[in-house]
Amino acid sequence: MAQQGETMGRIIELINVSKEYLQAGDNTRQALADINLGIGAGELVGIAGMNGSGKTTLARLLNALLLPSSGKVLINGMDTTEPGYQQEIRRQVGMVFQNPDNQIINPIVDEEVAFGAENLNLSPAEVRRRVNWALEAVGLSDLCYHAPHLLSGGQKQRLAVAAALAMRPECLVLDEPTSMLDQPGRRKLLKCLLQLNREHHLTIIMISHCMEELAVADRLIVLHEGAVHMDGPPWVVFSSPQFTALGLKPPPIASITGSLVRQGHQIDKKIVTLEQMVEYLCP
Amino acid sequence: MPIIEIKDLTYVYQSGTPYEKKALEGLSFSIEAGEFVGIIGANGSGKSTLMQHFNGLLLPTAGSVLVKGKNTAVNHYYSELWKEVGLVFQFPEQQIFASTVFAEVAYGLKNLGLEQPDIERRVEEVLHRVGLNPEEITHLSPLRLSGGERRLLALASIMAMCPDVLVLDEPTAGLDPAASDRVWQALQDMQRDYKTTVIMVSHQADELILLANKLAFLEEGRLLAYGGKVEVLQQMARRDRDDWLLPDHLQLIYCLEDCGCQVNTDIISLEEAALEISRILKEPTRCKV
Repeated sequence: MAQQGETMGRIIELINVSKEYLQAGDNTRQALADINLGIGAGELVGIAGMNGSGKTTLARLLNALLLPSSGKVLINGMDTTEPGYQQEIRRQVGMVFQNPDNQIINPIVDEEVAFGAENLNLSPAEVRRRVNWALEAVGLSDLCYHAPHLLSGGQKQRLAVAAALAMRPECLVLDEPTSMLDQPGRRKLLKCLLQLNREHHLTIIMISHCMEELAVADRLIVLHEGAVHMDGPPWVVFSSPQFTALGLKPPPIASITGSLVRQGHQIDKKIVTLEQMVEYLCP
Repeated sequence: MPIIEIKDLTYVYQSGTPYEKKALEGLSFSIEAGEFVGIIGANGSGKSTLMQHFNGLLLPTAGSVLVKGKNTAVNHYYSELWKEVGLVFQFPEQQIFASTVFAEVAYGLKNLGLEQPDIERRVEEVLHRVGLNPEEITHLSPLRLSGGERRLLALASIMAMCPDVLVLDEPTAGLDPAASDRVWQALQDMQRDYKTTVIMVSHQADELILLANKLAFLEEGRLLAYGGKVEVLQQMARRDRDDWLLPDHLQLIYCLEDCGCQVNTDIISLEEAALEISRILKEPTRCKV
């Protein structure tokens, strides 16, 4: 499959990246093997793969939480192994983890969002502006004086996104952000991410096991045993036998499209989300 | 006699304090032995609170919970209740404590008073059941297993005790599709081989709806619908679309109904939904707006 992200300016570039973890004794375990990947500014990229395929390792290499064992990770041309660049890299690449409880540290929603921005040495007025904008973007403005621990799981996850946004990152990396959420919570978070991507051109990299979510991405990367196994538009990936051979399941709407195409119906084979299918069937 | 009977169950957290929060209100329903009941509800609807009532971890603020006819709050010995009802929490792998896989599964069995050969046989059997290979792993530390394998191990430890009722809170959250398929398969096998009653909460609504033979729909602590799957799903579809908990293929069916298509809503599985869409495409007049 052709590499995407060629035409746009590249925000992230991985060149021959491998990552090994030390294990008990003198053993090492290879988590990523010789990855070459370019991600363009403004792309919405989904990452799928089985447990242990290297998804989380890849995410953590992108803001220098982990450093490659060999090869290079470049963020806007900055090498993550250069200590002098790491602070700037972490500002440009925001991270949201699986469990928001692990990253929320302040007793009030408003303060939580301001924390990262305050540490950037900005004026109070600028911090205020950013906090208001970030809360607005994730739909939490009404809850700004609430205590984070009293929020629902979905609200907490959107709070974690807002805290990352207030640092005005160019790229947001989310590692299974919805695995603790129910469907309405997932839908709201996804809507908010889509809006940030479309309206603010935020580059988004989202790791998930939930194919319904990954279906909205511009590009879907499938990792397998530490290597990029597939890379293309979601509808191409979902309809490939390579995908199901890994034990992965396409989202329900993509399966329906697939079975309609096999039955010889004239239907747009690019349909993978509920909205697209409803739009197609009753315009 | 139903194996579980819930009568007018109400539960209030931190009752009598300023932090008082009503989690369940006036629930009444019963579950027959051998049934597979799926519990569906949004975050905060009271699912986990309800789950902890089945084995007496929580006792009702008002109303009662009867397991095999005995009230959990009054005349039930916990040692007996806990043999009858096995509870698998969210992230059960966090409760693994033994130094080997064998010891982890055998722990509950020893407490049941089983003899060593019996224990060995059951450990082997249950590990096979969840798709783990006993020869390879019984001597290993649980820490050497992957996240998915640890989840399966935690499930196996409960299943080994062969409870009459198995209560599971989100057993597949965070697992990849292969591992979660093994969980679903193991539960089906348990039900077939031991007539185990299964009560389960899962956000994987498509799988849950497929395997359950009854559904319960909770909203803000109230039981809005309980019983046959199609009826409960139709009730759920009457909610505000932003709050829908239905899997995508059913949302599609109800969206089509909303926009004026003559669509059959008597549908459960993805295959049935695909067939129905295929029929609609063949008869475009059914979808004229």
